[in-house]
Amino acid sequence: MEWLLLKKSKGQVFSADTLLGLLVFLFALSIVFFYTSQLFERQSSFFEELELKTQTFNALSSLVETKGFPSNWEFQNIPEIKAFGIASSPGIVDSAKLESFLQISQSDYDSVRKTLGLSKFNYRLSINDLNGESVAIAGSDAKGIFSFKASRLALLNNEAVLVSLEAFK
Amino acid sequence: MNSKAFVISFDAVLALLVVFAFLVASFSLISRVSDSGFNESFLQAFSFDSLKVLEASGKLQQAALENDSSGIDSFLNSLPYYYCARIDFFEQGSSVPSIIASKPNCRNVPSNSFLARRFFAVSINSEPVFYTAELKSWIAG
Repeated sequence: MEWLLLKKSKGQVFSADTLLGLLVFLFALSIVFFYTSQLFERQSSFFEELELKTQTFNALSSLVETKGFPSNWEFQNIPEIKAFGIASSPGIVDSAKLESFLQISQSDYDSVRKTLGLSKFNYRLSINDLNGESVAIAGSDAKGIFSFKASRLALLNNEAVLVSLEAFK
Repeated sequence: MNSKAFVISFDAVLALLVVFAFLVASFSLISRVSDSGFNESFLQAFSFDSLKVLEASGKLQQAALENDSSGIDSFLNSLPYYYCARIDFFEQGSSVPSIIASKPNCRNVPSNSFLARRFFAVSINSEPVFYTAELKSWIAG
């Protein structure tokens, strides 16, 4: 009889209480999973965006502030070019270097992308005068899902120009 | 038996509260992280670029010589819409600007604007006169 009572009370614990507890637990677990995945998604997209912005800005700064490496890269073969720069001095665009950059961008887009440090992204370089007239354009015409455009002011043939580099994915 | 079940649920509720508190704290911390430092880098580079281009093209000197901001005004107007800037010209030794140039919709300088300066000289009656161009820039709200 005592054994029977024990058995009966044990059976009660496993029924409604357990089921309710399990439901509450699963509900709580699903909420935790939902929010945690959102948290990770948000964090990863933030870092991806930051990487896009940083690399675009660095690539543009390197272009308008340096001569590139080697400094006479416009006379070198593409594998020997370590960094592109279209400036004769910081902020002064050299028209010969710009012309070479436009040509290489057209003939070997992927190499230029990698050398600029934008291997994960596509890019488009545009140079406009301050009236908005296009002076030069290079890179891809495609549209990306998300993009970032960085701009710098420089002088080209003693005229102020807006040099913009847009990277997109 | 009932009281034992109550104790277990209370523990569970407490644990859930702790988990939720952690999640809420993580969300609020991550929301606070922003790339506003990026705007500062952009402002800094663009402001120095502006002054350099203005000086190299002779527009700073021309404005100081003619005491006329129209050339600088039109330069600032042609810059991207989101970039606000105002340039004050100070003659050496003066704390009152002799010329003020700005975009029409960018007159009020916010307290968190970026400040860049460029010193230049012009020749007036064969005498050098020194000026400081003080550029304050910010992102349009």
